[in-house]
Amino acid sequence: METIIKALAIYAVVLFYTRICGRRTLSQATPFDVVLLLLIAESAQNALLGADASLTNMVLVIGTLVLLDVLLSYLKLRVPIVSLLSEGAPTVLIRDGRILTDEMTSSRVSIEDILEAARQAHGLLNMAQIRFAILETSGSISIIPYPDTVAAG
Amino acid sequence: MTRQTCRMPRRGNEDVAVQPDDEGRHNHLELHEYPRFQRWFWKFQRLAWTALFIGIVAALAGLTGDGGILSMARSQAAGSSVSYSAIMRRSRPDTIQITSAVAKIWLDQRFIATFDIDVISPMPVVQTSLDGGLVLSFAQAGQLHIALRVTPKTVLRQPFSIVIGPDQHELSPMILP
Repeated sequence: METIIKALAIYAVVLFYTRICGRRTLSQATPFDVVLLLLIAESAQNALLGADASLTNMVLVIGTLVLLDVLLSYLKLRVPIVSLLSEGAPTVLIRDGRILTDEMTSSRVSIEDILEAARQAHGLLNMAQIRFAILETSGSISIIPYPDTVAAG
Repeated sequence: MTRQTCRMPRRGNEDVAVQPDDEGRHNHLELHEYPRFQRWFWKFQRLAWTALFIGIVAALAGLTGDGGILSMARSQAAGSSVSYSAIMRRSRPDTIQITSAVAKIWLDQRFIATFDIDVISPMPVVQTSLDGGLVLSFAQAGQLHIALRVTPKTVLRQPFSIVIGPDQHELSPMILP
């Protein structure tokens, strides 16, 4: 029983910490983020398994986590607030070419991040070519260029 | 597209050039933005960072056990003293230091229920049960320095007694999960 309660508690704690880290941390994977994610995984593993490295314990822990994930994904479909709390909502950073500085600052996204996404996705050269930039719940940035820009490109 | 219904606000983004429709979609983007939720969450995020910072400072001070100036406690009597961690952690070994002028120590029943005794140093000559507790008798006369290596097996505040000759030390460490 303790194993299952521990797994549930650690899942909730890691999810909470991941959410308050912000979405950019999920996708940026700078050296700092890699270190952070590795250490979180290592700490969670130690707390989950503790001194009990038995096969039974491992089966129970993994089973609990998988079931929890399935339950949460089902709840996210049925109850939108669960999805909002666990994943957040997409954030528009550029709307019709207008830079929304408050949203960018709050999301900790820089102009350089948006330009990088624009270059990678569409080969765009500058901000003037971007109609919409959206920070997705996964942490990636979607770029929608002006139609004439795409045609010209 | 899945129609989402939710009590969270869907309107109110001041920056939009085109007003949202009834589904909360803007500018032909089929996107549910929940701007008020986003703003609330950003505030919550900052509060959580502050709480984390306070938690880490408290941990450095010793309020979560594992060392730190606030985690150590001491019970002093005429002929003996007991030093211990006021904040312990379940399943994490800890040391209780006893200084005594007498060679007999009684750990009460609550002590036995709270801790697993891993190591006693120096080793007692005789260990006997008494009233559900444990009496430790040591060979050495005079001033004794005893280290009890224990592992807490319960949580929350756990009062117990250590009786050393005429001195009764009432201790109640907080054991964190």
